[in-house]
Amino acid sequence: MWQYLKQLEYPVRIKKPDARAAKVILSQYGGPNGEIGASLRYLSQKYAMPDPRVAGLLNDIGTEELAHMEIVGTIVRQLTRNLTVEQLKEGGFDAYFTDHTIGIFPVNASGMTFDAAYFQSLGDPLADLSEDMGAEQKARVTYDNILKLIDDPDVCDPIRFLREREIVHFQRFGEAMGMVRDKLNEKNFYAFNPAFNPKK
Amino acid sequence: MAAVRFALIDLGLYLDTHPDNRDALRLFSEYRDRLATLERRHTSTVGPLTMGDVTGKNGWTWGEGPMPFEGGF
Repeated sequence: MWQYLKQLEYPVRIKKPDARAAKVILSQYGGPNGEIGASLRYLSQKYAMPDPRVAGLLNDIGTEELAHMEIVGTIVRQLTRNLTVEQLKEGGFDAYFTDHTIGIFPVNASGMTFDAAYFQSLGDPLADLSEDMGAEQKARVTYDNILKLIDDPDVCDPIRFLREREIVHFQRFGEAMGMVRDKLNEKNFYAFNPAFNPKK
Repeated sequence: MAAVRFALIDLGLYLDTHPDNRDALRLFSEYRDRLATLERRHTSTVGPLTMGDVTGKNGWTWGEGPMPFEGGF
């Protein structure tokens, strides 16, 4: 289970509203490489992960992703809470405003709603951990792209924190992959799934 | 407090894949003790961090103060 801690994992203090920035950052909330997808991916994969150390890692990283989802939501909130109608029109936020006012809703940068098809839970340790490593890199690139579009230091600072976490998670998943690989039958590498045929 | 907690989160993930690293384990328990002190100070001066921190002596304080996303901690 989870317990709410009344503190952000990394502080967010944004003074200047910016509809354009909010629109692209919202993609890391509900977009294809976003934090909601990341959290659901790891928290779903953990059940079929045969190595309890790796299942624990998925649980811990999935939990941290929930904190990142809150950081991204907070950034968007603080970028939009004092917007005037003129500003949101200028920033291209009018379409979003029509459907959600300034509520936080999981969509990507072009407005498509969150889709569970953004991630997989295949029940095969090698397939799942390979996806996880790829997902961390894709999220890192998305943060790199966001940093190219934004120059407000109050916004860039928490985005850089989130970007660095993608790199650390990638590293940890790589190590988890090594832990799983060490237990495989080396002569028959891809022929069985240790989550489904554990006795082989 | 946020910085010490973050150190624990990061060390925790490291220990998930390096459970036998004694240096990391020692650092983890050092930060753990530091966090406990900082949390005690926070809950007595600022407010509860978790629902379990509410003592009831000053009423239901869980909902008081700004939420983290609105500029709280």
